[in-house]
Amino acid sequence: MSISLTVRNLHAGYGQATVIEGIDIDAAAGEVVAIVGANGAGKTTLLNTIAGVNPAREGTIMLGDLDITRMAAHELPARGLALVPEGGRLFPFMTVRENLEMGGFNQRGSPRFGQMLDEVMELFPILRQRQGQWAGSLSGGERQMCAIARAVMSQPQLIMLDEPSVGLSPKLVHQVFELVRELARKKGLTIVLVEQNVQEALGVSDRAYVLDHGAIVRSAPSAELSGDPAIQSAYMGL
Amino acid sequence: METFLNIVIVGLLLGGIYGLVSMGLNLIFGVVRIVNFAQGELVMLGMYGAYLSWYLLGLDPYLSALVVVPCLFVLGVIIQRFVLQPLQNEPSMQIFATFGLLILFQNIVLAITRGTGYSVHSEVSRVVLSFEDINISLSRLIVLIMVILVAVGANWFLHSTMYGKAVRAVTQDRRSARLMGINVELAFMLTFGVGSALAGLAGVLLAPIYTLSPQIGGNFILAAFAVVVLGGLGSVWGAFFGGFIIGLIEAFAGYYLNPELKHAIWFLVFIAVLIVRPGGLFGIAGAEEVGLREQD
Repeated sequence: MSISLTVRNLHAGYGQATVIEGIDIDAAAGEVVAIVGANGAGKTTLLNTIAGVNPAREGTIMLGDLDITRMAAHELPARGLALVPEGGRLFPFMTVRENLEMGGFNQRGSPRFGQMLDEVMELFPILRQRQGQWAGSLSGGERQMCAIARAVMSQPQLIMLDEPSVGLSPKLVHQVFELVRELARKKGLTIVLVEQNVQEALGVSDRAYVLDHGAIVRSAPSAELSGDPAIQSAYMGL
Repeated sequence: METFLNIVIVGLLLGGIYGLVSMGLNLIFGVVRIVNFAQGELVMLGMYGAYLSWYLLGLDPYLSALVVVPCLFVLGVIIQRFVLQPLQNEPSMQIFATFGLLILFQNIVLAITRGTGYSVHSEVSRVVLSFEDINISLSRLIVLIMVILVAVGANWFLHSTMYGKAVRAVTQDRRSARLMGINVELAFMLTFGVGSALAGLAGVLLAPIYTLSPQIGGNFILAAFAVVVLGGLGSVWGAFFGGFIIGLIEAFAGYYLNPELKHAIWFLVFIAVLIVRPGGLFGIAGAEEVGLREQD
C-alpha cells in the first residue's frame, strides 16, 4: 500500500524570508527518495510545507490524485501521509505506548487498533520493552525509533523523515537506515527522506535530489550520485 | 484537639472551593496556554446564572447547574473561537483580551443589577451536619465532594481515553499533535468550553454560600492564581492539592494569627514554593517558562 507524491513549483518561507523557490519533486508509489543538501538549504521547510505545518505560497502538492496543497496538517494522516519531524518530537510526558497510540489517532475507531499496536511493536521490539516508560526518558536512538513507529501507527502510505540520523552515533545511524530499508521493503511504503548524512541517504534510496539554497540543483538515481566525484567532494567529505 | 480538627475541616472545605474554582483555570492554562484573567468572572456569571434560573424558572440552585453549565460551555467555546483564536500568534494580546473580558463581564452585570447584592437560597444550604462539636454545612460539603469527582473524572479522561490523551499531546507538543491528525484549534475550543463550564459549576455551587456581587470573581481569582502556581501550572492534581493547601493555610492562619493576614500568609508560602520549585509542586516541568518558549 503506497501512494505517489508530486510537488510542482513549490514556494514557501517564513515571514519576509523565502526559503524554497519553485521546487519540483516526484516520488513514485513505493519509491524511496532522498533529498540531500547542506544545512539551511530548505529541506525541513520543504517537508513541513508538504505536511501542511507551514503554508505553501505558490505551487501544488498532490498526494496520488488528491490536491493537498491547502490542507491543514491534521487532515493529512487520514489521507495516508505521515511526517517524522526532526528530533522525533515525541510527547515527553506520555509513555512510549501512549505516543504510539497518538500516532494512531486517525485509526482511533478501528477494531484492529490493538492489533496495529502489536504489529508496530513487533517491528520495533525495543519499544515493547520500553512501552511503560516516559518517552522523554528514552535514549536518542530509541527516541528516533519511537518517532518512526509512531508514524507507522497511522497506517501511512507515504512516510517523510526529517533528518532521522541527526544526533545519533554512527552505529545507530546505520540501524535507523536499516529500518527505513525494511519499511520500504516489508510494507512497500513510499518514503521521502531528508538528510545531511548524504552517504547513508544515497545508500538507502532509489533516487535523490540535491537541494541548494531553496532550489533543486540535481536529480538522479542514487547510485549515480554516490559515484559522482562532485557530489562526493561537496557533501561526503571524500 | 477538637479545635484543631475543626480548623482542619474548615480548611478542607475552603480548599474544596478554591480547588474547584482553580480547576478550570488550570485546565485552560495547561492546554491552551492562556492565563485567563476572566475566569473569576465566569464563576460570577455562573452564580448569577443560578440566581436567574431560580428567578425565572424557579429552579433550585443545585438543579440550575443543568442549565448554567452548558451555557457557560458555549460561552467558553465562543470566547476561544472569536476572541482568542484570532490572536493566536500574539500571546500577550490574548492576556489583554481576557483582561478586557473581565472588565466587560463585570460591568455588564453591574449595569443590569445596578449593584444590588443578591442571594440565592436553597433548602440544601440550611442543612448543617453535626458530629459532636464539629459542624459541617451541607452546601460546603457538596463543593468538596464535587471537586473530588471533577479531579478524578478529569484525570480518568486525560489518561484513559483517546481524546483525553490527545489533549495531553496538544499540551506537550502542538506541532507533533497536528502531525498525529489532532485538530488543535478544536481541542482549544473544547478545552476552553470545559474550563468555563467548570467555572460555571463552581459558580452554581458557590451561589448559596456567598452574597452575589459583580466583583465577586476577584475574590476567587486571587486564590485561584495562588492555588495553580503553588500546586503546579497545567496539572489537575496541582489545582486539587493546591486548593487544599491554600484552604488549610487560610484556616490555620485565620485561627492562630489573624484572619486579616490570610493573603499575606498565602503569598509568603507561594513565594517560598516559587523559589524552591518554580514549576509548582505538581506542575509540568518548565511550565513557568511559558511565553518564553516557542509554541507552534
